Amino acid sequence: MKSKIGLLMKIQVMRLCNPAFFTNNSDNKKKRRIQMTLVGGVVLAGVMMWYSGMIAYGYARIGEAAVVPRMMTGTCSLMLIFLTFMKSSGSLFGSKDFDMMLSLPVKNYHVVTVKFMALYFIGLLAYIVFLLPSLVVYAVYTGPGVGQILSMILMVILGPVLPTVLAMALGTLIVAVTSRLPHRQLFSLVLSAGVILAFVVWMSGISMKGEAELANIGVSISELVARVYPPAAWAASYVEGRGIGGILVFTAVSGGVFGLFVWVVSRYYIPINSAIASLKRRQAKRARSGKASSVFQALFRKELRRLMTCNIYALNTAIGAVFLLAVGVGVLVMDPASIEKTIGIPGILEHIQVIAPLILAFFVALSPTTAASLSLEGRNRWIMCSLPVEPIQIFHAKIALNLVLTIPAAVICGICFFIKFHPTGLQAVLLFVIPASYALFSSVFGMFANVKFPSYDWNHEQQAVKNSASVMISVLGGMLLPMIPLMISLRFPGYAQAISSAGAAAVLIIAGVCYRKLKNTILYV
Amino acid sequence: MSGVLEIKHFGKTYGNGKKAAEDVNLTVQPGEIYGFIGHNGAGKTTTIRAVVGVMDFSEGEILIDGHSVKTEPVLCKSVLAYIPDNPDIYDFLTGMQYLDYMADIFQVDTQTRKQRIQKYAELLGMTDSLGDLISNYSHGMKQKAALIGAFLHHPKLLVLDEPFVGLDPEASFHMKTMMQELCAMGSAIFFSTHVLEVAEKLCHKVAIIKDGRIIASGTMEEVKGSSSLEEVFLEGVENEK
Repeated sequence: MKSKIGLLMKIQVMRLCNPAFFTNNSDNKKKRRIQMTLVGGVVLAGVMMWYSGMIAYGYARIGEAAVVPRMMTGTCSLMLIFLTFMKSSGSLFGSKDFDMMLSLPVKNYHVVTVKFMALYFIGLLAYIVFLLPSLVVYAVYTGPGVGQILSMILMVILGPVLPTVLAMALGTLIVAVTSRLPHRQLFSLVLSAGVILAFVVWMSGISMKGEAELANIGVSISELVARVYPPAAWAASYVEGRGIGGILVFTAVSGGVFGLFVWVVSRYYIPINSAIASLKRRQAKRARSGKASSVFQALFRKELRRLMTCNIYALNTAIGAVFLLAVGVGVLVMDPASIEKTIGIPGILEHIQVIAPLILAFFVALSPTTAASLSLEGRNRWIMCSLPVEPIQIFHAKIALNLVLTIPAAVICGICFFIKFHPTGLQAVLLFVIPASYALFSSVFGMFANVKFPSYDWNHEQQAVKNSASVMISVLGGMLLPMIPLMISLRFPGYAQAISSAGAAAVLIIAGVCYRKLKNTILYV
Repeated sequence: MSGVLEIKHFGKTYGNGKKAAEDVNLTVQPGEIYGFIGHNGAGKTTTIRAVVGVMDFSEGEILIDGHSVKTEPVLCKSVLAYIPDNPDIYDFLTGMQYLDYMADIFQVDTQTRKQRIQKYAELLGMTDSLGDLISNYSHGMKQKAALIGAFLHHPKLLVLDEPFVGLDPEASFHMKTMMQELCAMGSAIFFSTHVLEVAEKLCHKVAIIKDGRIIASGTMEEVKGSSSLEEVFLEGVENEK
């Protein structure tokens, strides 16, 4: 069993990164792209680790380090359930390699174990990045014994098991139940956005709180975690000095649930896959051809369908627009004091009329659809290369999709800010012009980045949408370019309008340069 | 006489130094079905990709209907249709959505597309499947959908790479009929195949390529004479060794 699982795991890992690629390949452009992706990933991981450490440091500084293990384990676990749920679609059931794997001389539980382990290792990486730094800070402040250190190691190693099982089970259930719904992607997107938003608001809100308030919140979060996700309390029991029973229960439950999950899924693996395949297959209907439309409409419609039929693509790109709408609604319904607390920067409301455009611009530029749209052509790229359309026409359709998502959301959010904070004259104009400028910039820049760093050889859309150099460059650019003028404006609020206008002008110039290069692009397979 | 497709001294060397095609010359006239045969890795797909403009090349020239693929790619592509050897088409669309997409790109009007889709779908047995997602199609069904998409705008030049692989016998028969019908309208077809019997029966002209070079070309009678195409092919390959 070990050797077969090991071999299957090796193939799964090689699907993601084949060492032979680096030794036997002369495609330097591809190598550079992968190197950039790795560098970007390391930078992002570094930022997350720093953030995790700072949260723990905040609690430790006010003498409430004790709440850190349970709180961070619970937070990490809940986050992992959500993230794994989003990734799980098509990984365990309905995967493209189902036929190939089941035709090999391996048992069902080998395949199920390997597929579980693939998601588990990603979860473990998330735990190492987000939980481990906070536990290290906790350990520095509390000086735990050997037993407690071992317990913390066990928390990290076993922590991803239950969330992964829960997420995979939930993902399968959702697929089975929602496959007949007309707007499954929209349902998933709204739900996911709500969870992310709540998490982000909570995390950023507590990071700048006063000491006493922070401590109270820590304690209440600790209790909440125990209620919402009891395994976090079990896992942290020995570390918190509540005896060894909890960690033993945690270990037993993790192992037991994993075993039960593998046993049940293995037993029904083929029937479940067959049932899902038949659910996806609709009754064959006599379809009717549509009315003729323009080339642009056809290209745009195709891009829209691509977005709406790919959960990972929609979630990772349309999320900025969803955040914008949520921010707008939040601004309308919350009182000014609550808004200031949520943002976490004291006195920010004094200058909100002048910095709001950059806040909106940040969300607008966060994650453009264009950054992965060319990569997502994948094995279909022969179609776009052989059609009688200029490449720039194809890019126009892709850029238009991102603008259609971001600009209406920015306008609605801008209207909410306008109603709440009554900006006047130029302030009101900039409230709409600046986000629109950043929307145009991120759309064009994302497209340019993807043309420069395409990634066509993916087996799952996740590789194109999440693990690509073009997406990382676009996200970093989209985050930094509004943040820099925002930070400067907060430092010099009297010049905020000039600074934000200059920022918008700069990004438009960058967009212009990128667009000129796109016009001269020729697409080949 | 200038043809629908003229390949003049075409050559392609890949980045690793491998010469995939060298001094390839051939002309396809209107109304002709031109077979392009060779062993695996001979340079057929490389040549075809250059013809349809999906691959760059630095040696030689390729003209479609008198226009250069390099300098006027959009014009050339507007009169041709291409189906690769493994036609991965958009699996997030239904068959009909894909056909509508192709019809829109090639600006086929509503009535004409409706008639042609109905005709070709019935011929290939796809009428009841066009409402289904392409992700649910078998390999053969995807090929049929790609084929219908290629025929929709009645291209002047139809370029196919291994078109008969994966098609059931009935569909192969109907595809041959469609090809002959298209040629009767004045279009030309340029396709590669390993199935020499089909090439022998269907093609007016044939070219044999080995290691990137054309070793024989001309009408079927000129190339095979009294032998079979298979014998000529094997002999040609052997001689070149």
